[in-house]
Amino acid sequence: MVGLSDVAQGTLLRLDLDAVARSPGVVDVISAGDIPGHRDIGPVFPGDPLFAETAVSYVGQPLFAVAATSYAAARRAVRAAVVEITPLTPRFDAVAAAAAGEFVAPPTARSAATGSRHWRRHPTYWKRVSSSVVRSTSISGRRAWSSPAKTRAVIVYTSNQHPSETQKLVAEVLDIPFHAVTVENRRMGGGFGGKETQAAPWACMAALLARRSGRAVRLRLPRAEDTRATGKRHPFHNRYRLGIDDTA
Amino acid sequence: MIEFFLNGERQCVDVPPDTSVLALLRETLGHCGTKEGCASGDCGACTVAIAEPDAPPPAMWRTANACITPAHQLQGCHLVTVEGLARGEALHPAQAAMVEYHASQCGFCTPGIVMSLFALHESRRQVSTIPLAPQALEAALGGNLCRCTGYRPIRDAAHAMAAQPDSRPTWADDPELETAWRALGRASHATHYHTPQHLAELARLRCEHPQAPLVAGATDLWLGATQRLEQWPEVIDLRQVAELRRIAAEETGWWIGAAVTYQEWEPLLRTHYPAFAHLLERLGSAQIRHRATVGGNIANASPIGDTPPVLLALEARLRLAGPEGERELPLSAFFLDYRKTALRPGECIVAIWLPRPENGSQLRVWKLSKRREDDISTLLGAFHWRQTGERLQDVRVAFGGMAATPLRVPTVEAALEGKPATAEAFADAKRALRAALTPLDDVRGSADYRLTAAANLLERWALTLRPEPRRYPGGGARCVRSLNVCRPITLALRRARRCPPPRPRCG
Repeated sequence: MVGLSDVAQGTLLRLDLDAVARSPGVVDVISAGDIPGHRDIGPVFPGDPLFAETAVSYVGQPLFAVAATSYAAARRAVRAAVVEITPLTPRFDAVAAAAAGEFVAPPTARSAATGSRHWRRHPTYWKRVSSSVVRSTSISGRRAWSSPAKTRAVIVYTSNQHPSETQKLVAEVLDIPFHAVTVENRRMGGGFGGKETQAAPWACMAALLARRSGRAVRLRLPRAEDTRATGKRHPFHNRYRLGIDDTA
Repeated sequence: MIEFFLNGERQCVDVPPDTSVLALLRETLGHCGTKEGCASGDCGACTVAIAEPDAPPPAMWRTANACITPAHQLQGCHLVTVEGLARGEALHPAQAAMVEYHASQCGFCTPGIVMSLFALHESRRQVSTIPLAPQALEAALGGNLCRCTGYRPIRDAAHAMAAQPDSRPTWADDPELETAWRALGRASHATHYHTPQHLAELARLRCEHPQAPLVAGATDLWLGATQRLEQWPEVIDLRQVAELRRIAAEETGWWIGAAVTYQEWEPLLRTHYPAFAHLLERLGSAQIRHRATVGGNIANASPIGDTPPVLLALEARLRLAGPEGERELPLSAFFLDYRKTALRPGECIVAIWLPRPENGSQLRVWKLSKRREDDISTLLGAFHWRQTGERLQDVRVAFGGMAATPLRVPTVEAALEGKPATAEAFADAKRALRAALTPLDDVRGSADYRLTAAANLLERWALTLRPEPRRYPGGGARCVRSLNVCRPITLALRRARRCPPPRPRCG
């Protein structure tokens, strides 16, 4: 089971997991400091830490994971964590954030037109289109099962739309070669895009716990945590310029 | 120790009293065909079929959500899961039809849907030549969600089931098996899961285990275990307490035991209070209605419980029993505050008094929720009246989802009592409503939405009282009196053009 942030944006001051480790049935507890390899599992750009370190960026962000002798024991143990986060003011309005220069990724510009004179010579139209949050989910939540294999190798069964990316990330997190990681998607139970990048964190956590404990580890998120911890399609605000010239 | 039959084989297991059927199947017995989608009794991925000894065939198989069914309630029953349907390589008609109509994509909802279709198929074996009515299909599948298929191929498979080769499960039609599981007995042998048979035994157990939860259907209570991780070392089950299971007809009404399920209420309501029976079609799902009880719905005292507003409008009463003996209470005196009831320590609800409808009395019930089935109400309005000539008499107006408790609204009733059903009277009623109630904002609706919608339910009621059909802009007369009878089927099913919208019944 995974301990998740309740705070949308803040600074993680204290994460005391002693009581978690002492809870009945607990075998292992891991957080950012226990990761042997890469701590950031951003698939395209960096900025997606497996466990929060100092910055907390969203409600549901993983802070730690616990392995126990039963699913119920693991879920109960999570509640014993002492978590102190200094809240900051989150910004939920994309337009205001853009005005303040707070970009998720650096702005890029692409244009088929050559130069601003081209735009001035022809009629142009500025348009906006916005979409709100979309939450899409599958009947099967996110699940991963991992077992250590020979030497440093690890096997991961994961409900996963992008197994090769997960293979890469598990290898990087565990600091082992790619060929030592076998990833298999046995049964999706529904993906809808929600398991393309967001299957990887749970696979990495299960693999790390399996490596450390020497035992098979099953990690699945209960429905409420699955919904909270995994991403939605954020609201989008698009402003585009359309020009019409006289070329055929 | 629980003794029961699973897919035709005898089982004897020992699990803690707060174990669910789903956990028993997947973790104890290693039968992983039954899936967990929500662990809340909503999605139906965990649907199983249970036969209990007191249920008469042909509807012997009742579906249930395994995630919120106490495992110990399997004592003396026959449980069937998706692994138990095929006969070797030969699929059960429910499975064969699903395959033929491509009614499975990711497959995760499929076992639950197959079990709902299995129960439907079994209940219709004597009438399989009669086409499946849309309402029956909705009733059977309303508690099964699917994210992938859009439901149409599932609907098609359901219609095609009866035409599939009739392959019977390996364990079916075996008279010795029927005798064997019915001989196991219902009373619990477990040390910490108690099944009192009479009120006196219940009282003794409550003294011995004051912290033990009382469970009947457990369809809301069990979420304490699955969602809030509560642990119950002792559990007291009410389902076999004789006094809570009786339906006693008297001259002016019925005493209906608190542990009588929604499904068991239904025939009585269909005859005497069809608007109440219609509400039950939208309450929860078949899986829920097979096990949940009206007594539980009342004792739970949720502000959005669906039966209390209707029972308040019908002036129902309760019989309570506790250490100081029995007493009666009007339901209107039962709800004190948010989830606070008039139950004294050690008391429980024994039975509910449902009055017989008086000559000329009428009832309308409208539930507003985002999903048509399987959804919690945003609000619910129940309206009772008698019409003498032009005037409304015995007006009773009750709402759920509009306050900390379900409640009648006396000022709205006073605005209509003795008045003709005019626009002015209803305008007064709506004003009284807005002055009387201050509902909350929550995820299901804002305060403003609730007030607007509740006033609109009064308007809807007013429209049903108008004698002449209304013409709507855009042409087409539509008989508004049919508002409580016209049942459009679930939107997803209706989009399949093969199923035309039902004709409204007028007159």
